[in-house]
Amino acid sequence: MTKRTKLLSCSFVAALLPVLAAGCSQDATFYYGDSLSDLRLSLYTDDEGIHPDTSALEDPMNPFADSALGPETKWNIQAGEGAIPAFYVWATVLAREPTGEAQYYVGLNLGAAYLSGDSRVEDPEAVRDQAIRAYQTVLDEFPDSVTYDATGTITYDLATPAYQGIVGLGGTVQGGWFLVTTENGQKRAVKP
Amino acid sequence: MVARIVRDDGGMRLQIDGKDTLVRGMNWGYSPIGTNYSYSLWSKPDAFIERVLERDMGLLRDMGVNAIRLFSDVPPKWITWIYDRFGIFTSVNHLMGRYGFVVNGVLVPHIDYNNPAHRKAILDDLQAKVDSYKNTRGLLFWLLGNENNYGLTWTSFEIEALPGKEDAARAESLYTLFGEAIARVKGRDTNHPVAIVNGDAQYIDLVAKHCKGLDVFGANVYRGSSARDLFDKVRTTLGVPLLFTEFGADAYDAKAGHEDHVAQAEYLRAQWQEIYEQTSSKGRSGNAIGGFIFQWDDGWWKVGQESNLDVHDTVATWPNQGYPKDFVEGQNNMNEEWFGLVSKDRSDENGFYEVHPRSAYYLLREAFKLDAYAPDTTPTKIRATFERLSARDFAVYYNAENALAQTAALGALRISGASMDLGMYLSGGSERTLRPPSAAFDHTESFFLDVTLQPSPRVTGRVSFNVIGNVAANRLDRIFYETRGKVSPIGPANPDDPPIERDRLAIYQAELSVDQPWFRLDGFYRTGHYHWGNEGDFFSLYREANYGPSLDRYNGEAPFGVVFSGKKGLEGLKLAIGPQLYWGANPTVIAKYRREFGPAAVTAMYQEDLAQASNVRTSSATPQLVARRATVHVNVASGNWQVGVGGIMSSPQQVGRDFTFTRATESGTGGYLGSGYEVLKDTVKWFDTLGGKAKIVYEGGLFRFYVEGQLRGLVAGGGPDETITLTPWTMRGSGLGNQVSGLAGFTVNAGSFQIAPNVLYQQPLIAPMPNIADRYDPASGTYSAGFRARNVLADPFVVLDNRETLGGELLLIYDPTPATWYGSWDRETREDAKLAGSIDFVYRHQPTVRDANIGFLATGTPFAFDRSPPAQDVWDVTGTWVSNFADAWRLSGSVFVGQGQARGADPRLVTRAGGTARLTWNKALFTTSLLFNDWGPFDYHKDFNLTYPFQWYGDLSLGMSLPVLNVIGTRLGFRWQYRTLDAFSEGFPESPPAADASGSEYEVGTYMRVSL
Repeated sequence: MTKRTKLLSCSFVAALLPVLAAGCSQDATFYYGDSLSDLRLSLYTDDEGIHPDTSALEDPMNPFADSALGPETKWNIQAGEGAIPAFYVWATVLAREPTGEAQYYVGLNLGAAYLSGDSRVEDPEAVRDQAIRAYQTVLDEFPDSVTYDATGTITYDLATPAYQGIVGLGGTVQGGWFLVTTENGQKRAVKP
Repeated sequence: MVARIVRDDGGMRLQIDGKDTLVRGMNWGYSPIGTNYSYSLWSKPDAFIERVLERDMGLLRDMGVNAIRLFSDVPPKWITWIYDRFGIFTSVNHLMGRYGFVVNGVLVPHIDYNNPAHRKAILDDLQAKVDSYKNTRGLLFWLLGNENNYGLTWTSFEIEALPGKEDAARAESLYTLFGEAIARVKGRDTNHPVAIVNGDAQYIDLVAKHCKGLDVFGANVYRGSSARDLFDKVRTTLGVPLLFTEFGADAYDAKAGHEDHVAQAEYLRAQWQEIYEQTSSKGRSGNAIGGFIFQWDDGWWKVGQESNLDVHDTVATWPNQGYPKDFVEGQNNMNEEWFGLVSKDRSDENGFYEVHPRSAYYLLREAFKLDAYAPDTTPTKIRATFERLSARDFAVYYNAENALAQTAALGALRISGASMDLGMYLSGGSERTLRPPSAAFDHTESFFLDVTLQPSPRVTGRVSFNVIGNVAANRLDRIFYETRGKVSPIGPANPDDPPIERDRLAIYQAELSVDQPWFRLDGFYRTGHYHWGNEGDFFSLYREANYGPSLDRYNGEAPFGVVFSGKKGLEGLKLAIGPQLYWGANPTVIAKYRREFGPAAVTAMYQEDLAQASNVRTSSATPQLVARRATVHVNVASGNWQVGVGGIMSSPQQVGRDFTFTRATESGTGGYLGSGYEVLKDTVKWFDTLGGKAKIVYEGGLFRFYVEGQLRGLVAGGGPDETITLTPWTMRGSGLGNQVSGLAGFTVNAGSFQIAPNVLYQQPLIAPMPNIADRYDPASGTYSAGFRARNVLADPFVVLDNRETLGGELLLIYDPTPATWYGSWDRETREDAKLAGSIDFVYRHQPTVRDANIGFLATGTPFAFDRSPPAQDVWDVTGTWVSNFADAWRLSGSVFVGQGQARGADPRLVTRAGGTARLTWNKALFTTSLLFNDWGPFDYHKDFNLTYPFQWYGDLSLGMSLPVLNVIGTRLGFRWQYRTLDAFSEGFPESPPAADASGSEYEVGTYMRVSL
C-alpha cells in the first residue's frame, strides 16, 4: 500500500467510524396516556406559572409539557378535572403563548387547589402565594385582558376577578388598583 | 578604493582611484512625517531599508548625485550596498559630541570640549568608528562634527540666528579636539580624506592653527546664491579644498506665504555654477571640490523638533539676507522644514512614503551632466550651461506631480458613488380585490451615497448611505427596500391605520479591506461574499452570501462580519466572525486551516455560535439552533481523479435533549391513539452529533462522473452544498443532519452538446413526526399527549430538505463556445455564442412528508407551521438560453413548468409555468416575466401558498451606457405589472360576488435612475 493510499484509507475510515454509530439508540421509551387523578402539585420552580417564566415546560410532573395541545383541551381539562391538572394545562398554555386569560386561569386553579385542602398539594402556603402572584401578574402584565363565554362573543374582563381573587386569598392588591361599584351595582377593578 | 586630494597649478581636486571627481553630493536622510531626529531607518528590517534605498538612491543616481552624507550610525554594509548598486559614495560624519555624547556611560547633553574625559570619550569613539568603516567599499570622506562652532555657547539645539559673539576659549578647545581627531583618523586610515564640518568660515584661523593635516575644509554654508570670498579665504588661510557640507535654499517664500520651488532651484543653480567655476583650472580660486546639498527631503520635524511633527510648519526661524527673494528686513525668511529637494507624502502603514522631486532636482539633473574636469569645460562653457537652465522650465514636472499627489491625498476620503432613484407609480385594481377601485398615484425617492476612505493604498473602506424621501404606498409588491421601518409591510394596507414614520436614513452597505504582508482583512455589511466550498469547507459551514434584491426587500442585515485570511506563514488560515456571516446565521466565529501535503489537501474547521440570532425577518433566512461544529476534510487529487472524505461533529449542545419519534405498527392500524404509530421518546446522544461524507470525482475529458455519499447523525448538520460539481445540476446534497444520502451523475460531451444525468437518494434516519391529536378521556381521567410535526424552533432536529427522496435529473446543455462556460452565474453577459441554452428535467419521488417549516407573522414574529403538505412527487422542467442573434442584440432568459409544494402547511399542489426574458439592444434594455399560476414574489407567498393565475412584469429602459448585470447605471425607464387574482391570491376578497370570480390589479410607473 502506497503512502498516498494509506493516507486516503485512514481518512476514510476515520470519517466513517463515528457515523456508523449514528442512529443506534436503544434507549427510547414508549408514550402512553397519563392518569390525571393522581397528579400532585409541587411547584417545580419559584416562578412556575408566572409570566414570563416557562419552567412549566420542564416540569417532570406536568403531563402536558410535551404535548401538542388541542384547541379545546384546556377547557376540557378545566371542566372535567380538578384544579391540579387544570393548573398544569394552563401553565403550559401560558408558557407557550402568554395571555392574560392563561395567567388568570393559572391563578384561579392555584387558588382553588389551596382552598380545597387537597392532600396532593405539597406546600399549600406556597401555592396560595403563587396564586396571589398569578392574579397580580394579570393586573400588572395583562390589565386589559379578557376571556370569552362559550359562544366566543361575550367578553369578560379579567382584572376584576383577579383583584377579587387576591382579596379572597387574603392577599393585598399591589399597583394602585381599586375595586369600585358601577352604576348598575357591579364591582369593577380599576387603576386610576 | 583610494580617495585623495591632489594639487597642481590649476588648484586642488579630489581624485578617487586617480579620477578627478566633483562631489555632487546630497545630505540624505529618511524620516516619515510624524517622526523626528530620533527616527532611525537603520533599525528597520532589511527589506524595508532596501525598499527605501532602491527608491531614493535610484532617484539620486538618475540626478547625477555621486555622494551622500550620512552620520556614523549607518551600518557599513549599507554603504557598500548603496555603492555597489548605485555607484554612490558615502561620507561618514562623526558628530564629535555636537548634540551630546555618552561619557563613561552617562549622556552629557552639552559637551565641554575642554574636559579631558569628554575629549577622550569622543576620540575613542571616533577611533572605533574609523576601525569599523575604513575598509568599507563606498566610503568617501571622514567628516567631523556638524557646526560644532555654533554650539559652543548655546544650550539649545534649536537652529536660531547665527551667533553674535564668539567664545574664543571654548573654540580653542573645540579645534584642538578636531586637530587630535584628524590625527587619530589619519593614523588609522590614509585612504579617505578627512574634513571638518564647520559652521561657515567661523574660527577659520583656529582651524588653521589647530587642525594640522586637515585634507578638506567642510563648511555648512548658507550665503545665498554666492559664497562670495569663501573659496579664496579657505585657500589662502588653510590651503585646502573647500567642500560645502551643507548648502542650498528652502522652497518656501516666507514673504508671500507659499511654496516657491522655482526660487529654490534658482539659488541652487547659481550655487552649483559657482562651485563649478571655483574648481581647479577655471581661473578662480581653484579649490572647490563640490558640495552636499541640504537636503534630500523636507524635515517636517525641524521646527519644534518634539512637537507638531506631522505639520509642515511654514514658520521661518532665522533671517538671512543672502536669500533676497523673500527677505524682509526685521523678519525671518529661512524655512527649516522646506529645504528638501523633494517634497514627501505621509507614509503608509509600513512607514514608507512617496517623494516628489522639486524643480531643482530636474534642473540639477541637467546641470550635473557637465563634467567639471573635462578638458573642454571652460568657464565660458560652465556659464553657458548653467545660464541655459531656467528653473521655470523644470517647474512643470513638480507642479504636475504635486497636483497628482494632492489629488491622491484627496482620494483618501472621497465620494465614490452616488445615485438617485426616482419612481412614479399609478396602480389600481378591479372591484374583486382589496385595492381601492380608483387608481392611486404615488412616488418614491431614494438616494444612495457612497463614501470611500482610503488612508493608505492597502486600507480601503466604503460606506453607502441611503436616504428616502417619499415612499409609495400604492405598489402592488408592497415590500421593497425603502419600506424599511414599517412595523408590518406584509398584508393589505388598512386605510384606517395611522401613518408609520419610516427610517429615512440608513447604512445601505459597508465594506472594509486591509491588505498586509501577513494577512488580509475583509469586513462586510450587506455586500456579499463567496462560500469556502472550493477550499476545503466540505460541510458548508461558511456559506455564500450574495443575495441580490431579496436582501433589500426584507432589509436583511447580512452578510455582516469580518474575515481574516492569512498569508506567508499564515497561508491557509482563515477566521470569520460576525453577527450574521450569512443571512439567518447566528452570531458566530468560524476558523479554517488548510494545508497541502503533496497531492493531498487537509482542511480543519471549527465553528462556534456565540448567541441566538434575533433579527431574522423572513423565511428566506430560517432561524437556526445555536451550534458548535468541527469538521475535517481530506482531498486527494491524482490525475483525472479526486477523492474527498470528511467528518463533522455538530451541535453537541443538543445532546441530552428529548425528542419524540414514531414507528408504524405492523398492521398500520391501532397503536398510539389509533394513529397507526407507536410513539417513543428518546434523547439526543453524542454519536448523533457525528457525520461523514465522501466524494469521488473523475474528469476524463469528454466523459466525467462523480459519486457522493454521506451519513449524518441526527444533529450533525452543516450547510447546503453550494459548489458546482462538473456541471450546474439542480439537485445537490442537503446539509442537514439526520440523513443517509447518495448522489451520482455523469456528463458526456458530444460536439457542442452535453448530456448530464444525475440521481439523488436520501433518507432521514428518524422520520418526520406525524400530527397526532391529543385526547382527554373524562371518564377515566386519562390524558394522552398530542404530537405535531417538528420544527427548528422547538426541536433538536427536523426533516425538511433531507426528506426521503429519490430524484432523477437530466440536464442537456448546448454551448458551441465552451470557453465562456455556460454554467457561469453571469452567463447572461458573459456568454458569446450565437445561441447557447440548456434544458433541465427534474423529478423527485417523495413518498413521505417532512416536518414543519417556519413562517413569520405580520409582526415579524416567527412561528412554526403545525404540519407540512402531504407526501407528493413533483417534477420541474427548466429551460434557459442566451442568444447573441445580431450585432448589438442579446436575448437571454428562462422558461419553466413544474409542480411545487408550499413551504408552509397548505396541502394544495401548485402546477405552475412561466418565463423571464432579457433583451438588450445597445443601451436599451427590456426585461419581462410572464408567470402562470405561480406564487407571488415574496417568501410569505410560498409559505402560505398564495398564487396568482397570471402575473406579468415588464420593464423597458434606456441608459447612458450598455446595461451590465447587477450594475446600477443611469437609466430612464417605464415599468408595468399586471396580475389576476383568485381565491388563492393575496388581496382577493373573502366574499367575492361570485364563486368563480377573479380580480385584477395593475401598476404602471416610470423611473429615473441617475448614477455616478
